[in-house]
Amino acid sequence: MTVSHTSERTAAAPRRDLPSLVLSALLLVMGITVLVDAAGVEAPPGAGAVGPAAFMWAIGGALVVLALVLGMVALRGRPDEELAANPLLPPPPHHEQGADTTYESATGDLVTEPAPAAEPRPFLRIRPAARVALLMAGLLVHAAIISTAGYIVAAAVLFLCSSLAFGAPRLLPPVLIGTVLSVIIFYGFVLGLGLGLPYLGGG
Amino acid sequence: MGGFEDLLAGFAAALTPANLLFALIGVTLGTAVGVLPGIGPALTVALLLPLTFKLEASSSLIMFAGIYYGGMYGGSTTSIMLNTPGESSSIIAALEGNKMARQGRGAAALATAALGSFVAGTLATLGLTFVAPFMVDVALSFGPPEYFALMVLAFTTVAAVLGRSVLRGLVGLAIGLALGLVGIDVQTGQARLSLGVPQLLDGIDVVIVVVGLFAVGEALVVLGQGLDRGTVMPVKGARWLSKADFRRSWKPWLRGTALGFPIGALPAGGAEIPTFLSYATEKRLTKHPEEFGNGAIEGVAGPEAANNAAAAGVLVPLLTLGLPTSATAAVILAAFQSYGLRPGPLLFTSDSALVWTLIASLYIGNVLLLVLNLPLIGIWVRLLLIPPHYLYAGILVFATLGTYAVSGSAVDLFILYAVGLLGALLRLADVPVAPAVVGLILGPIAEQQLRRSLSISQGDVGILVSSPLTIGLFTLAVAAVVVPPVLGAVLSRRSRTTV
Repeated sequence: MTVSHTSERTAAAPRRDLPSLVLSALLLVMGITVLVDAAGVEAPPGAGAVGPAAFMWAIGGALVVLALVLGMVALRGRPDEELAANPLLPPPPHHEQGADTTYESATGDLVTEPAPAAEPRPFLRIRPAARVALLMAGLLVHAAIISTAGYIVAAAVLFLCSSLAFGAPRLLPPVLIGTVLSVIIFYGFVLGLGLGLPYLGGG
Repeated sequence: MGGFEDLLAGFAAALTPANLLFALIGVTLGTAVGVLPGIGPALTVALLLPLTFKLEASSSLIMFAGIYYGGMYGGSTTSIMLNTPGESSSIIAALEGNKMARQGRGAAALATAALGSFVAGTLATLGLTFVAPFMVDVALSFGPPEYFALMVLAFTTVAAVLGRSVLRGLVGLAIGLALGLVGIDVQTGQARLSLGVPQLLDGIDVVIVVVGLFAVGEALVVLGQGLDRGTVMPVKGARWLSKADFRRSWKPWLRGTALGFPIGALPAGGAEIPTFLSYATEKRLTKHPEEFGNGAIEGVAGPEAANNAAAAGVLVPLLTLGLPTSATAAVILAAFQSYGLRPGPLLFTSDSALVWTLIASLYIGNVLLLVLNLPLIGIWVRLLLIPPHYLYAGILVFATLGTYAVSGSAVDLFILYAVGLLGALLRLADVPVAPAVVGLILGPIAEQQLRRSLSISQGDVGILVSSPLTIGLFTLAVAAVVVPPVLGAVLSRRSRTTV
């Protein structure tokens, strides 16, 4: 799978690890939900020595314990925990971006690495948070209209919203590509696989 | 020798035009998704799971195995040309491979990766052919307690190996196990964690979880943090390995295979550790130490061979024990399950023809992949030039399509988005998602084995540690969780005192 380059491992000062704190709270909620649900599960007679709830108790308990440990680690800040990181794995590769970098290669020549090519200016110049919001809006609209507007429209809308969110430079190409892609998928499914996708107007 | 005849029959079945076509589709798709950032073999196989309703078991499993092998080949291309590993086990190849590409030796790096992958893949598939029947004989003597112990070992090692820290690996695992609980308990018919939602009685579909965690979660995080895009290096230099490069490559290929296959075949597996060990080995043995860190070909050849050998090795516990040790292997296990097949020693007797056809198709897939990745490598490198906005828009369209195809209900799409948000949170918190996938798929099977063990012993927990084998397995399982943090603390203390 792809590796996310989420944390800056160079930061020296411990900083509060907000995502881990949120995750710790979520784990706690999940753990308590599992435990409460386990208490409500009744083992029918003859279910054997271990009923359907036993595994739930174990996993619910594990979730609560992990939530507490993760919460403590997160409050201390991430760099402390890096000391306990898996020593068998190498650090992820770093990206140098921006300027060309010149260094001496193994053969002694000077090698200049080109700087990454400038990306074309996105059609929508908005902040990352707004991009995420646009993507989520596209996903939600897709699910909301798929059974009424049909697959082709719903998928084309999703394609347009996500390409704009990911910085497509112009408006027309994503509209066209999205529509063509949805039409191909639609007829591919209906004709090729015999699986139905909703038509325009539902059904 | 019976196994050899079975394999020949497998080749006969795998070489039919239809099965060859599925192998070709599989390896082509696998290479493509291995090359493309943001999409990998686990996600691809999950997206194609709904096809299992339409296809024969052997056809779709041949295709999935092709995707699995192809993903390993393709991942190295991305590492070398873009320095953004498509696969976590290709990180090492990025270290030396990308440096080579920057010096205009990209073609040699790609060639040694492709040839090394072929050599390792073929030797390791040969290993699989000979080790699997032996493992089946051993596994036939296992009872439920042994299986349960093996699964616990797989859980803890997957959590320890696939994460940056053991704690975060365990968090991923626990989330997967909890998601696996949802739905009706198979043995008693009791509803668990359905929370009053009727759709949840059937459990949360594997497709939705894998697609949500990998595709939607990844897209949200990439978008929120800004695109991190390297430069694609043009392929320069000769298309084939020079004699000098070949002389420097063949030993690392063999050493990488020797490291990768056994470690991958352990029921603890994973491809990350052997690639790293191979890199360390080559660095120590090389006659050109000055090149390491600046583009040493041994540093690509060894780890890439180890990576592919480990991928084949992972199939040993998957096929003979039903034990997946990577996200892709877990999804392939789910594919078996959707045909009502249960990988394990009995599969080799009940569906012997299917197993041997699958293994034969792996040999064929490797040959196809060599052709796809040596003469045709330029096409794959060009895939990297697809603008990210179209790439991610396409991924999301296929992600929602795959989910919708599961049951044709828009409710599943909303569950997908919720899982996607969870996946984004996990990524931001540096929690690996692969253990969650393994936990989701292997969890219910482990529970079954535990309950079977305890009903044999009539509730006596002692049965779990009644044989030396289970005691040993549980000890290893605990060690997998405890040793890395302790080792890490010791190593970092030592490095701090020397500074």
